[in-house]
Amino acid sequence: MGALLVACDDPANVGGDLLGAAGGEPVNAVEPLSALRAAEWTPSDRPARVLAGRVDDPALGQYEVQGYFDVTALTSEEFRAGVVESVELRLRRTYVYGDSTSTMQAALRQIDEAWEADDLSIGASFATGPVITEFAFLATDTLVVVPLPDAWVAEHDAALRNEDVGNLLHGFRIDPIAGNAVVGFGPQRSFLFASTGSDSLSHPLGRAYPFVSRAAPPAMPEGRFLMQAGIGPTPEFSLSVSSEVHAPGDPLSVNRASLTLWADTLTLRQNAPAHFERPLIRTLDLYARAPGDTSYVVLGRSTMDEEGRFVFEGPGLARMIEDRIAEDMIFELRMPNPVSLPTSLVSDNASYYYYYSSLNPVLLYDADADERTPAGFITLTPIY
Amino acid sequence: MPLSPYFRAESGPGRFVRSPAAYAVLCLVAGLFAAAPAGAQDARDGSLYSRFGIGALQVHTGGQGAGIGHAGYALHSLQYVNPNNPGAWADQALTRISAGFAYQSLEISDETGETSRLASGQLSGIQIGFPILERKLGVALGFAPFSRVSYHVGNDGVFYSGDPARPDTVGYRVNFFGSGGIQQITGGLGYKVHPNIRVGAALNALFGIIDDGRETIFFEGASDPPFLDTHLETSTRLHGFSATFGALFSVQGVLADDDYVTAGAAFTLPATLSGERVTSLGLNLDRDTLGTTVSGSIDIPWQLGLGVAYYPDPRWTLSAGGKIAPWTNMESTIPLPGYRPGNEQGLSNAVQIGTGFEFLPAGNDLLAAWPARIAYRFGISWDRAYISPDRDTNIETLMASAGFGLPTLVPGARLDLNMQVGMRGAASDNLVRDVFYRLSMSVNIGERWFQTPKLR
Repeated sequence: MGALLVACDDPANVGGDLLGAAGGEPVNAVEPLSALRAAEWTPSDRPARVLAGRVDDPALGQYEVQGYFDVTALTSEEFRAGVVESVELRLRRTYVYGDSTSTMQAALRQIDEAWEADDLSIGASFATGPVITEFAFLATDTLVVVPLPDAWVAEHDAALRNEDVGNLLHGFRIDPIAGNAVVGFGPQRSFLFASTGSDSLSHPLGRAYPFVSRAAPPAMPEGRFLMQAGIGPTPEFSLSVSSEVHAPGDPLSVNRASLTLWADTLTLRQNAPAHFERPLIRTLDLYARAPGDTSYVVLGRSTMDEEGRFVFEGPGLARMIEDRIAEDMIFELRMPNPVSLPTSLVSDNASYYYYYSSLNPVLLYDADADERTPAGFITLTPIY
Repeated sequence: MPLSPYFRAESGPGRFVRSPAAYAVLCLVAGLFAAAPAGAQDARDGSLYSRFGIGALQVHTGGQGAGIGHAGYALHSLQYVNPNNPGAWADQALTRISAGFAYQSLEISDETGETSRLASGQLSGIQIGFPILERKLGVALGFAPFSRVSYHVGNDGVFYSGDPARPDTVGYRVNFFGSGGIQQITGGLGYKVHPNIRVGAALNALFGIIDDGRETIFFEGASDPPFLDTHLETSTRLHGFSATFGALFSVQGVLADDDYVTAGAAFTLPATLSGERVTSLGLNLDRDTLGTTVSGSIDIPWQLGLGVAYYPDPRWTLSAGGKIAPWTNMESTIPLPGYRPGNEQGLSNAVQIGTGFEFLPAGNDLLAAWPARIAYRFGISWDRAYISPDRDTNIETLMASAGFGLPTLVPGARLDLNMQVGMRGAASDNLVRDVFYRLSMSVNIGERWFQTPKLR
């Protein structure tokens, strides 16, 4: 019957015991995550930073990185009317991984085939020509200038002045020869500078792709999973909520869910000689999919805390677990997509936008790591 | 029947066209009907005992019966349409409309001394009656609550997050709330088969929605991780039919030459309420329906009401009565709070008894001074609820009532004001004690309708 006047004061919880076991109390569940598995991941929207070098990491092994890149074609009538007299690469170093005091030596080759940077799988390579030139620099140098030989300039004069220069020149590859660091150039304020005497053009970096080969396996403790930005592998794991927590068919409401993964920062810190730079991955995105699905949804982002934890939580994760609690949910950790990052971070050279094109590692504790085993913490309310 | 002198019939002017007063009552009735569905959404400020079963059974005895301890089965008056006994509908001289409204202040206390105070108002009933054959055959229609669900209570708790990343404890509250109930529309006839015997029959349509809700809410700090609250609501739609048969017997000159005694009885058949239940999780547009609609039925028992009234002279009315209903026979295929299918534990046979009196100093003198034409009432009643959350303890209510029947400037119209104070349950063994103060008001208007004036 309709209540026409309703008022209430002092709405205390008097009489709550009258209801008996009426439910509604939340319960906690701690569910271990599965062992971390390596999943292949093809990054997209890779920032055009050129990585190249060779490093012997005491903890993570030896890497050699060949840096493929091209430049964005520019032209002008006055430039096309002249004769190219000189060409040089002006590379702004924005990243170093390894011995920052190292003297680097590298070779420059020309890419001989057309290539696309999008959807390149890890390990792809392209045909290149002979060495154009070799050059040396210090890992701490902020600007590296690489003059191209006159013979190469004369040979490519017509192509450089052609309106279709972007399709005639496929780019370059930097091969490491000596040194103990991997450096990154650009993408901003790095150019291929060409001059005709009466005019000059600065072609900015276009696409970039690092080909990484591992010469020696990482010497890391057992029960760890190594993830490196830009080259992977992507850690994949699954969460199965036990029947002790959830009886099949019984509805429930997930009030909060968090997934916690621990990073082994101690191993990396103890294996870092003097002047050895090893920036870490500190921010990760959590993606999820249901078994049988191929598409992922992003559920959250976490930045490593002072204790080395990545804690993913939020309404999206809670809803996902509530909806799929009877299934094995599959999760992936990825570097944040630079497109999704705030503008303020994109504009910062030290930001994760550029870490996307880096070798930054994170060493994650895998299953059976006792209190640092990856785990899911779920607060839920049974409906009945 | 030769006892008409004791009937305090305040006749209207006998016009075919209804008066403004009648229109006012009709507007009031229409307004109450219109407001009912909206108001029901938030009506959660009643007794916690209304959570159990199909809600707290309501007693509607009209403006007169409410003041004399709900002892209404034998009341026989031309001024009121007796809502409890169809047999009394035979004796009607005027078309009567009455509508009542009650406001209740409720104080709930438990054994620890904690107290909460709630207040709410509700429509208590509407009655319409008119004669087909004056004082021979009459019709009545009524609308009144059959049961009411109206409660809101919370339980606080604290739990350890269990997450090493968030080692703090988190407070939470589980709120339970309910609203709605079952309404009853009654329509029937009363017929005088003998100068001393009146019988009647009515068909009762029962319908309504009972909403029960539960929400778990968390008290995390501003910097704590967000918890999602759980909102669960169960909506049960019920409908069914029953019938009531009544009889009213009257005898004159029992203890004195001019006294008058009536005895009344009303028997209501058992009914089966068909129902559908929908359970949903979430709020508003995010609400998810859990599973399919659950269909079922609730068998409610018969009810027998008995009463006796004694009229020593036109000034006094003494009445007593009560009713019983074997609710231990209730069966439900729909889960109900406090009810275990196939198990009568927690159920009781409902009993209600009451007695009271009315004193009208002026008696049949319509020209007496206004204070003398006020009806003064007093009564007490006791009842035992049909269901209890504690299988070992019955929930009993003791209530005292007092009221006035105020004459108005409109002939045939009265304004009834009744006050009730009562106590329900006991503050022990996890139970609570309700102390309620109820103020009810009903407007009762009688006029001659549907009759062509003899003089034009």
